Amino acid sequence: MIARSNQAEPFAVENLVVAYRAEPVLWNVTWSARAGAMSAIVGPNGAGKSTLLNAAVGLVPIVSGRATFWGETFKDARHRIAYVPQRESIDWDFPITAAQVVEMGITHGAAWLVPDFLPRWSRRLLGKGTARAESKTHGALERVGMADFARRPIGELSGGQQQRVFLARALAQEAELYLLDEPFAGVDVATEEILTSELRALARAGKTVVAVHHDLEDVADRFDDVAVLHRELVASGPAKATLTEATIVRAFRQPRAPLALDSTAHG
Amino acid sequence: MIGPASTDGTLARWFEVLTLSGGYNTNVVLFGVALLGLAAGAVGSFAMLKKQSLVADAFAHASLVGVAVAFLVQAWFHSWSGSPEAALAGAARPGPERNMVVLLVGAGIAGAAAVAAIEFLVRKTRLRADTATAAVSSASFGAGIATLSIARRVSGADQAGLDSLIFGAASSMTRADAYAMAALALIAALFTAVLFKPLRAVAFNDRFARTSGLPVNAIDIALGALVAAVTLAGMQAVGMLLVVALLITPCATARLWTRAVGPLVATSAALGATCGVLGVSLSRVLPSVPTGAVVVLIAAAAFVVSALFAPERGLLAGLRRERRMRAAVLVALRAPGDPGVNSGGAER
Amino acid sequence: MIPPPSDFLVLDAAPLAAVVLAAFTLALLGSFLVLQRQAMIGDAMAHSVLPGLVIAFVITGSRAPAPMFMGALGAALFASLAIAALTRYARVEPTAAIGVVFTTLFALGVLLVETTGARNVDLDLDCVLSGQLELLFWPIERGASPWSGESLDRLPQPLLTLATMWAMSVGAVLFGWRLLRATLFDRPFTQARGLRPGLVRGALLLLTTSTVVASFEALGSILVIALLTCPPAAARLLTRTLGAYVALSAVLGASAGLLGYAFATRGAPILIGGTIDASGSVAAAAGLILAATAMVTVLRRPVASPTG
Repeated sequence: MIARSNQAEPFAVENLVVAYRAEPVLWNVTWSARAGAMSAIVGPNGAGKSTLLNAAVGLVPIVSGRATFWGETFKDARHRIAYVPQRESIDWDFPITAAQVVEMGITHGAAWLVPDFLPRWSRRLLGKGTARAESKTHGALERVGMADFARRPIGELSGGQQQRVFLARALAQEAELYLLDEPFAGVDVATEEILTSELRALARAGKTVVAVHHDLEDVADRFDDVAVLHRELVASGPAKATLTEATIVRAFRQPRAPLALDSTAHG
Repeated sequence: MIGPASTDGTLARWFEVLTLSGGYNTNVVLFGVALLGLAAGAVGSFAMLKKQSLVADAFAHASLVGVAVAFLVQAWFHSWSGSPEAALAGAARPGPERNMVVLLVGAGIAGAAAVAAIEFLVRKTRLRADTATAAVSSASFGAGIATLSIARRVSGADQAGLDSLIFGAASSMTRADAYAMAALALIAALFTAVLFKPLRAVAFNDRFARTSGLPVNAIDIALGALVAAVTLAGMQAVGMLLVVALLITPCATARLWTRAVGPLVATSAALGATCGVLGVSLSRVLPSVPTGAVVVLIAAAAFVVSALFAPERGLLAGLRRERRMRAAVLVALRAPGDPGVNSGGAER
Repeated sequence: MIPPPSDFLVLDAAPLAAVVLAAFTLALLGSFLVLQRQAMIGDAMAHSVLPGLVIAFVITGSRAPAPMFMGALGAALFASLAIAALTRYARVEPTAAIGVVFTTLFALGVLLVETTGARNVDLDLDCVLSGQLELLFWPIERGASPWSGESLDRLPQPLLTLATMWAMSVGAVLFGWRLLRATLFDRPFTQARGLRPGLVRGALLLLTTSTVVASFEALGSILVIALLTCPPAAARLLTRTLGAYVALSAVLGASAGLLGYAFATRGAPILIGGTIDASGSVAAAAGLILAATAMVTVLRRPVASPTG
């Protein structure tokens, strides 16, 4: 797997500027994730942490700058990346089972057009990948301890269980880069442990993990590297060394200076 | 629609109507619809802030079944007191005022029942407010159409009362109607003025309002009753299918110009009244245009202009701001002295 | 009381088939609309059909089905685009945007009907509201086999249009099943995987709009909404999985069509001595199904469901 990757970083942003309407949310951010490491993106609310990931995977338009994956654009590298969106962007009342969620990570090409409510034998005739997909789904759910819940609607699971199902979907994608938006938000202790150990296992296997994280207290325990965002990149590097008192004060306590855009606009 | 040759005459006639020299009947309608617009604009802004504008639409749609049933009950009463022939004749002309009051009572009951049904679905089941509103409104309208087909057969040709409620008949507005509108506008104005602060609190955050000791339920019910009264009054003028526009469009327009609740209510009420005056006067001078539709379209025109050109929330202002921001970003990133940046950021 | 079979074929077979087909298709597509919290968009589309029809009539000067269809489709699509533009770019609240757009278009339709002479050719408001089911008779010759080519040629055009929409919708839901489920559930993920959720939603909206327009002639524009929303709402209360939900919704829709039509043409004459408006009766039947379902679920639930 690692051999396939070329020398460039698995995930890098250069001079990234992203705006929500007329308000810049990310300002000139340049940062890259270390291959085979677990990196956390931290910062206060509204610092643009999630925006960084969303812009990188093409969900939010980039005003200026770029995001690259092993030196390629997201489109070209898409098949090597697993993305886990933020909890808030999902309608958890949607009638879909845990197994069906995980299958979204495996289904490819024409398989999307094969309805799966038909009897099993007829699906076998339609696509020979079905059995393999089923075992993959089962395996992924098993890794996060959710195999018993495969046929349960996602809305009937707890917040932590839902997050585990989303991780299972990412695992089933068998990617080389994992981008997770607030995976630890609002989950129980058991889920926290499963998430940490599974992500750690990925990193040990040479995969790269980048997660938006909200809790400063446990960053250093869970992650190798950290990037501190406060619309601009405040600091980045190994977690323990970077999260100094001064950095935290700069990112979390200081009011954000307004960008003097209008004065330069007419200049 | 308007022959170019008659344009001058039409303009002169329009001016005449606007300066209240269009005759007694015209003035009655003018005042009536203007006051209605005022009341609807004021009350509607709170309904909109509470995100309940479309509930008023459900109320109006559902009232059809009440109107049709009231009509049938009326006919039945007449048949009870006389021969069948007299019954049919009686349903046709029991005197317009009495007829209208009974129909409006029926409309109010059915509308209130629909609102209660929506509330029940939202509170007791997992259905969301928009689904419940659309389902109740359309199903009860269907029941109304079905009942109406019976009423139409019973009544034969004459059903002026029915049609004026469904499609609106502003031109048949009487002096008594205008007084009723005046009373309604007065009540709405007093209500919003006296209860302005509690209403604002309830509209913004009713949980907070509740903990701070406000009688939230009483205020909600009073507001709901006013919305219902405006809707019923508006049905006579613009019809049950369009009356909700009086409650929504002026408020949505006002919201594009102001954020504060006080100016919002005032602007919305003023807009409602203005659209009423313009709509009625135009429909008086142009041949064969329906008053209700014209009032609604004028309100809509004001909305479209505002949505495009309002200084802060308008579409064009937003686009201009965004373009300026993009230009500023590029300038700022190229500026010397900004660490680590030169041409790199601007190339895409 | 019960007409001879050939009368049934001539008078009732085609309207009944049209109602059931339309109800099935609307409820099928409506289930996805409700799932996306867009029941009100359907409401707005159905109201905006009127100006599209009149404009198409004014331009072409005839009531030919194809231009009418295009006009109505254009107006309905315009309504949904206008709502999207207002909420996204002018930051108008969704309910306000929907309310403004559909009342405006409906008022425009009313104005055009009254001023362009469209009224003289049967395009009046009543037929827009309640449809013209009674015009859908099947002019089959007495004694002729209903399956003969000649008889089939005489099937009313709206019925054929509805059958086409039914086939297209069922096909789209079957083959798009996984795509629909994935993109409607998790838009960011599917977009990141390169699946174009916007395109899927757009295609679904186009299909729904076309079905609304096609059903319009039989059922009337406003009653269409009852079938787009009531059966899915009832099905939502009774099911846990997407497959069961969508299938039940379509079945409940078809049942509402059947029951409503049967009551209007067979039950009402016995009860009140005359037929009633069939499309109104169908919409009311859909509402009653929802009411009964809601009652049953509320009464039968002593403990809170796991989702709360």
